[in-house]
Amino acid sequence: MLITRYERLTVEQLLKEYSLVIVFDTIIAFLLWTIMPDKESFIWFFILAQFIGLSISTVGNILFQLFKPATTSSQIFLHIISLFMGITTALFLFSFFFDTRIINYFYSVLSVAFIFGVIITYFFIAREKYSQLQIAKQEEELKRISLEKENIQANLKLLQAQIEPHFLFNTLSTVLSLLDTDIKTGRNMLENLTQYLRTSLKHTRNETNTLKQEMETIQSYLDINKIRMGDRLNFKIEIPNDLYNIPFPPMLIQPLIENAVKHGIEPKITGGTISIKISEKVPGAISDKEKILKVEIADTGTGIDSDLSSGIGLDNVKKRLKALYQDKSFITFEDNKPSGLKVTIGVPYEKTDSNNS
Amino acid sequence: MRKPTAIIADDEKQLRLHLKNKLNQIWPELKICAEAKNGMEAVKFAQKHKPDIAFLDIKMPGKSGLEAAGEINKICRIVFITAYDQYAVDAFENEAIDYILKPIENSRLEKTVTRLKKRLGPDNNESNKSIGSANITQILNKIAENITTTQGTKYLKWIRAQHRENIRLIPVDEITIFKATDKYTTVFSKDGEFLIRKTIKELATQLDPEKFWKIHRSTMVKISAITKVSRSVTGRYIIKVAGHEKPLTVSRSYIYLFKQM
Repeated sequence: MLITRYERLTVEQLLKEYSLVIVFDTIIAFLLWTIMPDKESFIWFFILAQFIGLSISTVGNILFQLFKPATTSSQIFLHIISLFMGITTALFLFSFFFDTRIINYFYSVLSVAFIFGVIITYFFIAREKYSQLQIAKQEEELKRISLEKENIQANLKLLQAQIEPHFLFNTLSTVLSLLDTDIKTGRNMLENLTQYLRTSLKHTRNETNTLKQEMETIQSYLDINKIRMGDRLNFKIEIPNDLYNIPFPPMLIQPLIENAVKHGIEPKITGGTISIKISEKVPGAISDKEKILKVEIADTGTGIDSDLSSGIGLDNVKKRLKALYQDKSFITFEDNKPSGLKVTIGVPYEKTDSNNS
Repeated sequence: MRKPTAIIADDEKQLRLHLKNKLNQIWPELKICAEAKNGMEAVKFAQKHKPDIAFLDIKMPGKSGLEAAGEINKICRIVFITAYDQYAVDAFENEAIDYILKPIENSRLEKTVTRLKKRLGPDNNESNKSIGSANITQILNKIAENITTTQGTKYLKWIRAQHRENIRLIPVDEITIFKATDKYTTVFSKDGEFLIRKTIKELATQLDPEKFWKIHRSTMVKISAITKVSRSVTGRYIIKVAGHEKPLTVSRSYIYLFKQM
């Protein structure tokens, strides 16, 4: 009964607790009465047991409300203190109201009550723990189901967002215009578009990718935009060679790049630079085997206003990260210096020997 | 009769060139007197050259084509250029506003040119320049509102907080509790606790009241994060918030929020 006493008690909780205590006390009183040799009336046993049980409960409640212990050891300590104080108080009250002879049996009553008290306290703690465990189990199951649902939804939305009509029509109109003036650049742009579409479709079939493939898609996407935007768009990509071949989910970074182009650089008259930096995150690594891959995407664009919604792209990345890695991944947003937005994502990855080749 | 003049505004050089070439083929008399790279330049050039027509791309940095049009529609006829905006296209059709679709198709451009020629011709007088007359700005605003997807709302979406030497942006959706501490406010999110300078009083006016409730002079909580509401022996309401061990007390003045539950 006492494990969660440091929380505020509610009326319902108190009523439930006291009624359980009364039931237990009655059982104990009956047991003692049947095994006791002298012929005292059952009523005395009953009253004494109720006195002891209820005062342990009350003293315990008061102490836990006063001190609100947080650690297990301090909780156990308070349980024992409440047992002693409760029993002592009950005995003195009983001797005052009914029968002073009880003081003569002080130690024997104290020890018997203490033993029962420990057993009952243990019962309450175990019950509380069990119900907490059940709740945790249910929550776990609920979480799993909702994750699965979100994963499917995120995939669907991503599919819709990937081949965004605006992007497609803009690209095609640029290609078309290039056919009149600069056939070589036009062909180049079509090739990039093909590569980009191929990977987008791959994702919908749930195939796995390597980081290298993902970066190639991003390169195509940025090349297409570079042709369209000219000097207004610059980008640099930084990846250590040994990370190229690690497995990586397709189209996870891409929406962040798209976001940087569309909402960061495009609206800015002077344009800007997108920097992509991929590294192994050393501090705070989960273990030697399971490491964190850190991807930083910084743009020098317009940045975000506090009242601007994060957009479908970012929401999708968040949902996918959660669906793929649960709590092992992270995504953070920062103001980039001197302007723009910096998004950092971290995902766990296992480095196998074949990756080093 | 003098030759008709026009300006072209598009942030992509390639597309300006393309449109210029196409117009040159279809309408050789039309003189392009300036090319603008953004909305601001479009307005500037329109005021400077006083052209008959302005071809405006809708999506441009600085100022959108719709915004620019609002400023110059008294000076010249507007023709919008758009890649893919079903809503805008429908609106243009309804309001008889001229537009060109990207990628540019010859037949479609020819149709627009024929219409423009007719409207600029001797049969029509000056006033016809501003199509739909006075309420055109209103129409443009309405279209602009409907096609901007990342529209700012009146409520905060991000909280800026100092984090080491950087400014972190925390999505408001991820925050469960705002708690006043001295001069600052502590923000609790799944990534931890952050200190911000905004006071609870300011936040109360900037956060969506359908998502966050003030439960105490010093505390605001995310409604959907409340996992448990209970009453204490003294009749107070106690709530628990997901991911937050310590229960929070609802002060008397805010109890009404929970009574209806």
